Amino acid sequence: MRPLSPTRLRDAKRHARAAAEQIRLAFDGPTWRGRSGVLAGTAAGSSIEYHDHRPFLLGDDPRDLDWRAYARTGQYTRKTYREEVSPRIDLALDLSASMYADEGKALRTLELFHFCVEAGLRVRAALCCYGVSGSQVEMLSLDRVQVGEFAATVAENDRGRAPDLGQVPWRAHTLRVWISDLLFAGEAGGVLAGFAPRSGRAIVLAPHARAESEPDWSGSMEFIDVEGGGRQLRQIDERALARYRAAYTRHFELWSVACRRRSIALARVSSEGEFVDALCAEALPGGAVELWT
Amino acid sequence: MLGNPAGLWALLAAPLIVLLHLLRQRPRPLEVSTLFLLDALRPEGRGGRVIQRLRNTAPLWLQLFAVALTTVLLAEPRFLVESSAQRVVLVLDSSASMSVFRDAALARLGPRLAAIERSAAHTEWIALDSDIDRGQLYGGSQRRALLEALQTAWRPLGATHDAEPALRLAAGLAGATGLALFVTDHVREVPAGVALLSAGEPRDNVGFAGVVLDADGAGGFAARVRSYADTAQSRAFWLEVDGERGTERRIDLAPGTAQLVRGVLPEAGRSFVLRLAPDAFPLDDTAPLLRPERKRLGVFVAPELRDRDLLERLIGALGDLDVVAERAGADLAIEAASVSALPAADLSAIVFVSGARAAAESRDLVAVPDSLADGLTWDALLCRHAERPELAPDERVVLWGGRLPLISLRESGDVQQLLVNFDLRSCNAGRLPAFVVALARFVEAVRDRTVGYEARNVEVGQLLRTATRAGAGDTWLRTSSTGAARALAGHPLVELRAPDEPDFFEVTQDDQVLLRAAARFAEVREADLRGAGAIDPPEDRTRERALRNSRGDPFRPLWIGLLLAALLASWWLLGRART
Repeated sequence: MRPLSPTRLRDAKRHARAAAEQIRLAFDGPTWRGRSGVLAGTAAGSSIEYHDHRPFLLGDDPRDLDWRAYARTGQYTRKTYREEVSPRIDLALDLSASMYADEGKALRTLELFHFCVEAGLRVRAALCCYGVSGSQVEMLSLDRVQVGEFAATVAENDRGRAPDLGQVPWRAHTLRVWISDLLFAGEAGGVLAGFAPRSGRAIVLAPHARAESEPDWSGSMEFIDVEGGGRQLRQIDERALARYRAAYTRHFELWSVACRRRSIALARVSSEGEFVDALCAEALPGGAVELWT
Repeated sequence: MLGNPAGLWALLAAPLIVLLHLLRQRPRPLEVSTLFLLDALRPEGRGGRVIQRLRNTAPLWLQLFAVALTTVLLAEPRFLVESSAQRVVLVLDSSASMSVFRDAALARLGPRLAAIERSAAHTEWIALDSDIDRGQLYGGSQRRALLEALQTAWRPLGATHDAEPALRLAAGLAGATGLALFVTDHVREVPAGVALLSAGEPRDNVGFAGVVLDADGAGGFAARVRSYADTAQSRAFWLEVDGERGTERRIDLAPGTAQLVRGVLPEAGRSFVLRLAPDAFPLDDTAPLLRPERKRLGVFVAPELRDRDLLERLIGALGDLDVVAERAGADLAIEAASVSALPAADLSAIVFVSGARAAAESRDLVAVPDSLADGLTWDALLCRHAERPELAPDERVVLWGGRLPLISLRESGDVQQLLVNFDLRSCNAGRLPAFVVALARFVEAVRDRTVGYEARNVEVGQLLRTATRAGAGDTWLRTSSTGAARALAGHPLVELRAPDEPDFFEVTQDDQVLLRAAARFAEVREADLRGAGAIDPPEDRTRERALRNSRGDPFRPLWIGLLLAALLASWWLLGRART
């Protein structure tokens, strides 16, 4: 895996930052818990968003009296306001080699990663980042998010294996985001079993390259697996290509069905074109991201 | 046709291209992240086959198309001009030796004629016999009809003859734009403008080179058997008597030698055939024979001439003459007459005209060209001749003595009279060979015109004459082997040719046999097949004519354009596949 140049890395961050100004992760919907932040919590707090009325009690600030309610009811009551909390975000990044085999796809992966980080920072989320490869899970510090450093952490015997998301120390009531191209054998349901939260929300962002979905293979080919190193000789003609495309499409259909069953938002993000446009193409209508209101 | 047939070698590139496409391409390595999805495809082993299933790809077909176009361009197809025409004149060798190679010649000729026909849009075919007297065998525009005509009409059984007149005629008919082709069995020089096709090959042959019957009539014969071979030969031979095969004997011959075989024809038999074991040339392996019988002539000698020694000797020498007592029953009369009272032309006769006046002087003797006097010397004749005031209208002089006819001939219908205008007693004609020979010739001429039975041994194809009766029925020639009969025309003498192959035959009129004959092959020059050889005419003249009668491919620029397009398209597709 060739490391991206510092210029491309800076570009990835810049694109992510620009996108984060317009789009954020889909926080709307669930009620979040956490420390003070910018999202509505479940309890009463000090935001300006009305929460409830309660009787005025001894020790309450007299400035909180709802005089209009008193005028109507003759009872001393006060408004309470919703608390604003910062959500917890658990971000897992697939470190398998397939994520970085294609330069465009590697760049898009980093853009997604930085977007999620930036989106979390904007809502003052409690962000935890993990790198996942096979059964290995590694906590990532933000300053280590470099292409070359990711590859170095993957163990030999985990190459090519489906990620074991159950090994990730997911927190409760978090927004779980998994960035992965989903290009591994194995049943989707089994992988998602370790990802789907009981409460909170889960999002899968899947970057993909055109070379994977619409390859221009023909003739005698020797395919080399970027992850496991396995080799296969194939004779590719139009029929073989059509069967591959059908298998590719079927693979992601199964993932889509599995995610829907578990109320996980799955968004495939193309590595072609601008990052914002690619993100909005499927992630926005799919509910994985939302516009800042 | 193709202007450059060698261009067809370009087609060899097609299997090479197919082989290249069968060979497994070096696999292009490619790193992929979706290897697990490729499990849906059928894998090939790492070892792989060197030869893989032929893939139906556009570059394959484009390259094969380019090979086809290249072949067309290199081969230079040409198309006959619709108005092109040629005349092909064949001269077929009709000599007997050709009979051995006739079928081989026709087999070689068929494809050759087909190739010649393709060199012009229209072809006129003429087939001539090499014996120019035999005329044309075929004239028309259909090659198949020509070959059929040759199958039926070309029967080479003739004697050795000069084919030069027929070849020159053929060359003239063919002209500069046509073709004259001589079909024969020996490689020989031909005139300019004539091509040669020879279908012979050296063969050994042994055959009868001649059969002679003893003159004494006892039936003895001697047959000459000759070997036309370069190795020692041994043959069985036998005599068939009326179809019954006799004892077989063997004869051994050193290379190129001949031997005599002697025997006696049995008294009881009527027809005899000497046979040799058959070989390459069967015509001389059979010699039909008959006991010859001359036609008998009844001769009446006038009483006043009966004591003439000359006449007695003449009658005795000629043979087969029956002296009859009455003039009415004779075929020939020998009589005397005076100048003023010549006998009527009612019977063929030798008439000695009496009334000698003066002696003829030898220097004035002039013989007129005539069958009676040809080759005879009359210089020594001394005689006293009769003065004839005038000649009869139907009389022609054979020998002049000055201004006076010494010997003349009268012919009136079937009757011939030889008028000897001098007295035998007062001349030396009796001692002059020319006179005796002339008399003998006349007698034979009368014999020829006399209707009667005769049996002869003749040669195949020999020209014969037979006297027939006037006012009687048709005359027929019947051959013994086939039983076929052919009507003959002519009177008082009918001309016929003996069959072309050894056989017995008869000439009949009103069921009366006039002639019974045995024809045998005697043309020994045709029996030697050692010099036969094969040669084919050169192709270049046919090709020359074809090029002259054709035009080039009008679509050549289009093929060139398509070829370039196919090559470019194939190169582009292959390049795209690689990248």
